[in-house]
Amino acid sequence: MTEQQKRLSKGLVGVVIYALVLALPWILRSGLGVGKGTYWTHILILVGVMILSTSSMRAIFLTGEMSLGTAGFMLVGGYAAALLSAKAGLSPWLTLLLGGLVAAAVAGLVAYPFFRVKGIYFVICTLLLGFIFLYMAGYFKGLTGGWQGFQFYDISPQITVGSRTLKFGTKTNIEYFYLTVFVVSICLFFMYRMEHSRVGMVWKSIREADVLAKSVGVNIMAHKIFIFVVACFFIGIAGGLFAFHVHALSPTSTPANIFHFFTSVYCLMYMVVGGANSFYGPILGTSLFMVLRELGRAVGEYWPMIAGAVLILVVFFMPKGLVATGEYLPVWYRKLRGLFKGKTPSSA
Amino acid sequence: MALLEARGLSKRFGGLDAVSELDFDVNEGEILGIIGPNGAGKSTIFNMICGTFKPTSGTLVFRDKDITGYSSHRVARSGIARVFQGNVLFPSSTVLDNVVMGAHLHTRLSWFSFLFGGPSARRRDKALRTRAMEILELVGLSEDADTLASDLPHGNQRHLCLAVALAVEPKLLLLDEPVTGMNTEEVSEMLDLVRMLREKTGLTLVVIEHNMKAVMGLCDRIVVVSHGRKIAEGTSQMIANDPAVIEAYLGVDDDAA
Ligand SMILES: Nc1ncnc2c1ncn2[C@@H]1O[C@H](COP(=O)(O)OP(=O)(O)OP(=O)(O)O)[C@@H](O)[C@H]1O
Ligand SMILES: [Mg+2]
Repeated sequence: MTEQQKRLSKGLVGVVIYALVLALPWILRSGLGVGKGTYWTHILILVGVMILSTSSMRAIFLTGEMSLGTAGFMLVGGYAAALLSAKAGLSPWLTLLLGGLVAAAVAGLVAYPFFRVKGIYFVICTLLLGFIFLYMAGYFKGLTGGWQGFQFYDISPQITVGSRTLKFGTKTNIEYFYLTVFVVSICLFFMYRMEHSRVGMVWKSIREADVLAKSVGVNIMAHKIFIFVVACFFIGIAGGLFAFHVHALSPTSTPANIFHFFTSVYCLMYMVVGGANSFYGPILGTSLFMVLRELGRAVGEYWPMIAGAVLILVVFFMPKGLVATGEYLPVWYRKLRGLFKGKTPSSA
Repeated sequence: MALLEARGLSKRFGGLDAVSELDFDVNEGEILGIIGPNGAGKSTIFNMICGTFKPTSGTLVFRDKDITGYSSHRVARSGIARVFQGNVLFPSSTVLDNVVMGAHLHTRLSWFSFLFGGPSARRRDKALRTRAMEILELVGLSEDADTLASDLPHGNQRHLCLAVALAVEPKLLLLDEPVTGMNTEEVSEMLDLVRMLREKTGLTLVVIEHNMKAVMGLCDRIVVVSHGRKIAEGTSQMIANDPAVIEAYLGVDDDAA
């Protein structure tokens, strides 16, 4: 019974949060929000894109390997989607998917050699790959427009019903926001199911004791390649979502220089701050950090410094991340009370 | 035809011959002991059988199949499981989940059912858990099914290591020092368990052990290695009276002093 009640209340919380997310653009527009509504909707779309990237990166991390190629695979997915639509005239609906598939294919090509090494060496491989993608996008001028990039303002995902056409993200950002929520939700749903199924258990076993996992018959290489390819598929989709939102790509795409290596580091940071052990960690970390950054626009160039400081504080005081705040509060409370009473805090 | 045949098995680490030119057979249904002083190369033998290390030279034939140089998961698939020298477990998983993971090779779930569950997936999952519980009962850990593996005391962790290996349902089970660090009572418990397993399931075992008394009582045959070479082979009595064996062990005492 209690198990059922727990699940019910969890479901209810989920529904409420989801409804809130869906209502966000309207809340922000109605003047409750800070600044202009359209701008905030734009930020929310970026948050959605980054949530998808960060969650995918965490999926790779579930096998114990850390990839810093996130931005690179976003670039691959974004460019593939945009180019296939702009140059080959394919529908953005299709190319959004194809962008993911191209990113997955590229990931599949490099996965085997990359996973021959572990730990820091794997991190470096993925990091360098991201740079290679960035410079390739800059150098193949004929196809990508080089460092200037290319625009495709007239191309948007659209739905035609009878004689009426809805183009996503042309009049206001709100339709595109809903599109983003929709796509990201589907991707997250798949990742959630995977993590909480048998394969998720196998990933955990690889992370915890790979020698034992091997000795009971787990093909570690195959599992690592699989999750890397799947994660890069989703990261590629995130890149595509970004592309059809901003309608212009370059290796230094604004906002925030998204294809730069820094984005990969930010993903890592969002995950750790939110809580790497939890599926919801990346979602919470990304939302909070990105919204805070917008609110703190005033600090401008100091942002990376502040972000770094927050990260260090969280790592020291909340190693399980912000999702575990509920666990930390009582402990801190007891410690504080102990301090004021002049006693040593009990460890209970 | 022996279950496992090792011929000319050798492993070099840089300039060190950890194992050299080793020949031995493991017969179906027997318990074979491997003994030898520290650093003799015993664990290295297991590492070569299990694909952790590729042998520098030599062959391993298991059930008439050449498994030399197989990767670890293929070795497991061919029917060899192993208990490591240390307590290698999935520390932050429950005792039950450890055993369920051990049964990895016996879980077959289709893509659809593993993503979305469904009755057939639930049925199979339940069967798997029932099987895992049976194994836990066998090793005497059924009461601790929901404990985290890392929270078990050493002796019980050793039993859990065995349970995980049993879940693989191997033909051949390799135990690397199963009773090290246990008190007398735990030792005899473990030995009884191993004997019972052999009788009940017809499992073939290879046991590496330091505890001489334990090995002598348990094994049908014993292979003695020193400095990577086989110096004696035979029954407990034959080994106990072999001058080469006595010398090898006395020599080690000198080194250790
Ligand atoms: N990965 C390795 N790299 C280099 N040398 C190794 C490696 N593994 C083992 N050795 C060396 O090979 C020799 C045999 O080691 P092994 O672990 O097989 O001994 P052992 O008989 O199991 O000893 P113990 O009783 O202490 O477990 C030792 O000298 C050891 O230092
Ligand atoms: Mg050893």
